[in-house]
Amino acid sequence: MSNLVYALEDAAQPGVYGAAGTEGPGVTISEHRPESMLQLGAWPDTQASFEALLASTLNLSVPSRPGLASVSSEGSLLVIAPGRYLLVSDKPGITQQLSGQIDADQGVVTDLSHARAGIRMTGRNAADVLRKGFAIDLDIRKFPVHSVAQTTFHHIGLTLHRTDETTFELFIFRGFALSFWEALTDAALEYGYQVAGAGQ
Amino acid sequence: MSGYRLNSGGLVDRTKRLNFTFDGKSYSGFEGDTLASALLANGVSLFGRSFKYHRPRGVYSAGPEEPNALVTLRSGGRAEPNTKATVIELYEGLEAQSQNCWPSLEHDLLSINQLGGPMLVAGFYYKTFMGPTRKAWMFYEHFIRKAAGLGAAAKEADPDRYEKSNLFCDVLVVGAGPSGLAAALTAARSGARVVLADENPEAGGALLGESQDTIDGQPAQDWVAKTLAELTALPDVTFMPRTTVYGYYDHNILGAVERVADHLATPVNHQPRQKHWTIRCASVVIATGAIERPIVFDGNDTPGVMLADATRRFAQRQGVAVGRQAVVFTNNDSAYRAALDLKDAGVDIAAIVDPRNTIPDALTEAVQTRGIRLLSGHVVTGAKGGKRLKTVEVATFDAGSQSVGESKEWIAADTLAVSGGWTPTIHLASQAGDKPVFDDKIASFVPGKALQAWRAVGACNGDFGLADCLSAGSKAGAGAVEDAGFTSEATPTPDVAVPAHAGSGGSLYPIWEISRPSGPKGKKFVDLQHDVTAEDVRLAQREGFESVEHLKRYTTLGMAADQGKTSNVNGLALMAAALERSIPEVGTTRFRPPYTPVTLGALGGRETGHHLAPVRRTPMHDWHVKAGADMLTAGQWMRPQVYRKAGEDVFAAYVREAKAVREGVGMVDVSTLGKIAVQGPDAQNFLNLVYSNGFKTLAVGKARYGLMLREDGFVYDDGTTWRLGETEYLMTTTTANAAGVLAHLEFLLATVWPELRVQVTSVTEQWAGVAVAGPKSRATLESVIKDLDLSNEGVPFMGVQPGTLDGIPVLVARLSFSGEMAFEVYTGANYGAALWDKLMAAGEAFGLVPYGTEALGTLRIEKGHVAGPELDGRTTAKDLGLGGMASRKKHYIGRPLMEREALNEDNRLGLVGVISSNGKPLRAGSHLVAGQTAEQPGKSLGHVSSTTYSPAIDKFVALAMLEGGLEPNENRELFAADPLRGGHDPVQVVHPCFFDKDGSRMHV
Repeated sequence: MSNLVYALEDAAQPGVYGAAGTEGPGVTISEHRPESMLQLGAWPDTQASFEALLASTLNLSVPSRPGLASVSSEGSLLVIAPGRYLLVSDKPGITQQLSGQIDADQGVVTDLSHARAGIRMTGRNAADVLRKGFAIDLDIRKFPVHSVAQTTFHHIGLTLHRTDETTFELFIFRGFALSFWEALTDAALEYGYQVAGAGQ
Repeated sequence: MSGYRLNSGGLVDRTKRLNFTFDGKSYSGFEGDTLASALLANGVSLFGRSFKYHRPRGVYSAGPEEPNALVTLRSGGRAEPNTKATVIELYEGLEAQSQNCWPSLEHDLLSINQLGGPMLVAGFYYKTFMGPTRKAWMFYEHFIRKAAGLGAAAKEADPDRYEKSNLFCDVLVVGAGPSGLAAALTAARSGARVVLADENPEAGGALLGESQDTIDGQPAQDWVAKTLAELTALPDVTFMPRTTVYGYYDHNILGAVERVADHLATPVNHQPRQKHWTIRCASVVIATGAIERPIVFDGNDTPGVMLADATRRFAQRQGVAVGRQAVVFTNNDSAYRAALDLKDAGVDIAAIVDPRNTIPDALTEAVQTRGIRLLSGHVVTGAKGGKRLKTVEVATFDAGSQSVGESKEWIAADTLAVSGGWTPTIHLASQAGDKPVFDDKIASFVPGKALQAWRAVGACNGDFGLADCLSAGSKAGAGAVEDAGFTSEATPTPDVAVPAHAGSGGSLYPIWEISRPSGPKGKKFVDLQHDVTAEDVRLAQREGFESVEHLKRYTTLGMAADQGKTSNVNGLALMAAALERSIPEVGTTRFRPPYTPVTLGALGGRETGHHLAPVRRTPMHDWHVKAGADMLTAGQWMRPQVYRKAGEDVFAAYVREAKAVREGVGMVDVSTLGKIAVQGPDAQNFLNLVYSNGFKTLAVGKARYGLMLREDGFVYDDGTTWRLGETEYLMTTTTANAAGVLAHLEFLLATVWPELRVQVTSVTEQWAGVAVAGPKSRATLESVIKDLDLSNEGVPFMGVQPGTLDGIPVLVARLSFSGEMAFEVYTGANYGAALWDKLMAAGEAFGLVPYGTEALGTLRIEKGHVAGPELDGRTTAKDLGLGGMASRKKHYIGRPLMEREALNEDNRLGLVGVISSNGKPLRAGSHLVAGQTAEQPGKSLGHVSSTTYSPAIDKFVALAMLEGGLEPNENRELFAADPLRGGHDPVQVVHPCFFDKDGSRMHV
């Protein structure tokens, strides 16, 4: 048995639950287990050079403002506040690489790989499920692909990244993950939901 | 049988018969019926008993304004009291019960209240309170509560789901009648996101079931269908039937309830019964229509008396005749249409009674053509019949002198259709607007100035004509989308044709109350639901309650579940008459949400049962549960209190666990401790500023206990901070203060020292932590950590080193909360469960015992370590014996105010230990007193904060805060007084550290 036990390992049992409709389950939900989740922070006077470093290391263009994400094969970079970023990556060794590249005068790297549970939800009713929990307009014109928000659902803080029109990645404080899962799947009952295995 | 189903007409599906029960009796109706229409079709005229007098009541309206026909719908946990039979959609198996009657609706014993009428006048409750003696209320209350009130709430849990959700749009149109449809159509054609909500199951409003009006040459109903089809085909339009927008709040946020499955016996396929919507929009079109107004006369509550338009709607929509022979009493043109339609449907119209002398020609012609008797210049002075109307009393009326003649005729009728004009439904406009404005033309209030982005159109704005409604609706739709940033093209105004006899409610002669010049003075009801009579209004005026706000509260007029939808304007008019002032001078009461009642289920949503609040679990949670731990909440966290063995109580379990730590080795899950990463070139400087003790000299690989003060000089929080690298620190906080400390640090960095290059991040969830404590803790860890020298030299006291525990990367910190040699082992949270398992396995050879928060508390109390009960926001470092932790050499948060005189007085409460002298347990919250008896305890000298049984010294001990602290009190005999719970027990004051004062046990 692996030494790693993810927060939703027991809860996210594959299967089909909730309302049965002719179109099949309205959403598919799975535990999302990225290799690394890193919070990256620049100092006010180093933001430009810090972003340049991220752009070249991660091979992407850093979004111009908080609330947006940029995605490359190296990972997804979510701008969560001015000069603050959340990197979600499956690239092995990325933590060591960035920690080596970023010295204290440039900014900081904070490892949150264990601090968040990841959930991926996709399907035609994904926005319908989410709007039960928070008051963010998820219309694709108002919250386009690669929009990012930090909000709460059922009193639980989360970071939200829309990866395509009907897919959302959610990052939740690990300790609340099971409570969140229960609330999310409960909200999905009326549309029917499928739980897929982790990483699918 | 008096009511019946017409042979044709209505929107009901006569092929779909539905069975239902009312008061246990079986009936049937059709799909498309309301409970009211189905009962009327079955000849039922008695629906309930009134609030105070238990008078028999029938159906009064055909909509949400219904004051009388309130029933309890469904049964068991699904029972819902005070639902309006006029809006309940019939479904197979529906169960309904009448309310407010005993033993039965037919034979209600409390109808005797009618005879005791004078006792139950306005202000009854106030008068009873002030009664002969104040004790009168105590005596009467039981009986009054039994007799009064509407339906009773179910005591069982509701098995159905209620949900909440959010909705965003550019334009919200409330009401899908002609005005609302026109508004929605214009708005939607501009490309805006439009939500069209209507409380009814279908769109159409007043046009629903309308058979004579035409729009652009097609029947109005076809126009409704066509418009709705165009709307619903657009991707950005959402039509929400069965959705009541009940409240208009700031920032154009509106509350709505969608009755998703109220028209079903039980919701199917995981549907919620109701869904609450919070709607945020740029602009609102309020097209909520109008409610017909009664006229007040003797016996106007007799079953069979109802609003004129309601009689027409039952015929039009459900094909139900409300009676066989009707009298129509109206002061305006609109009710003529009801009379003519009823006549055409086969109901005998005995007479139309109208106080006006001049009636438009089109109406008189239509009436004459049908052979209906028209009594112009007449009024109805009374209605009689007990449980069903039998006769209508009519008298002449002189409009010039406004005088009623002697009653001259008693007309037999089972139905009296009344129209006193129309009251615009201005609830939402009033909630989000200035004071409503009185419109003389319709003798009612129309919306005042909008204080948010809304437009009121159609009947709710006082426009009753169909053509006006359509053009105003279209114009409002265009304005609304422009508010939302869209451009709108003018929608051509359709051609409207209505029959010549389709008079509007704007043609009225205002008349409010009919009083006989002589003869009997029976009850004339203004507020049917709360049984408020015209005489009650006058009594309130005579007793000085002239303001409308006082009138409402004194008489309860307009206060019931219907919020005075049929009574407010009449009540105002009667008060105005009593004061000899005009209605606008008297004023109007403003409306508050909700427009119609909202269930608690809809407001609570899914936050019930185990979804009430989120639960926070550590990575080792499942192990604790499987091990049978008693789990307790600590804030949102779940923590094991004790791991009880068979036959153990909590006491025995924690004593065993604490002993095991002192004698061998134990381990406890400390993952809940707050953890904050403090990073950056200025991190050390920052820590030195936020802690009262120095952090300049802390070396990499070492931890230091830190005491944090608030700005006001009191202690805020404590914990250890570990230096992991040159510019990397890991701060720990108490479990309870984790979020607060982070916010405190962020505030300081953002405002006080923005120049410091420091980042603080909560990493509470990143780390799982286990404290391994006891003389055998080192040996236990040495058996599983092979790459780290755990000797006193390798990891000295307060040392922090990384290592590997059987393949798991860990941080090992030599810290002790228990006073024993101890280590805290931290790892990434996803390794937490494995770490715990491996430590349990390794500890087996050493007799390792897992312990919970209870033993954790015992061990720290024995050592005199302060925690939450002592760090209660009222204690200074000095009070807690931690004065030495407050540096005199540097500046830090809290220092200036800590040095205040009052915080340094000798008689402040200081930390001491107390030992129970008589072997009885002590209770936290007890006061320390010098008085020997519970009767004469003397003044409080302090209080007991944390208590436990100490296995180490075999005594019940406690930490306490005592006036003057330890020095003047040491060895003093005091008493722990607990007058509320009982107890007055002798204690001895001692040093707060009960065990191993020199700390030799942890430095080995």
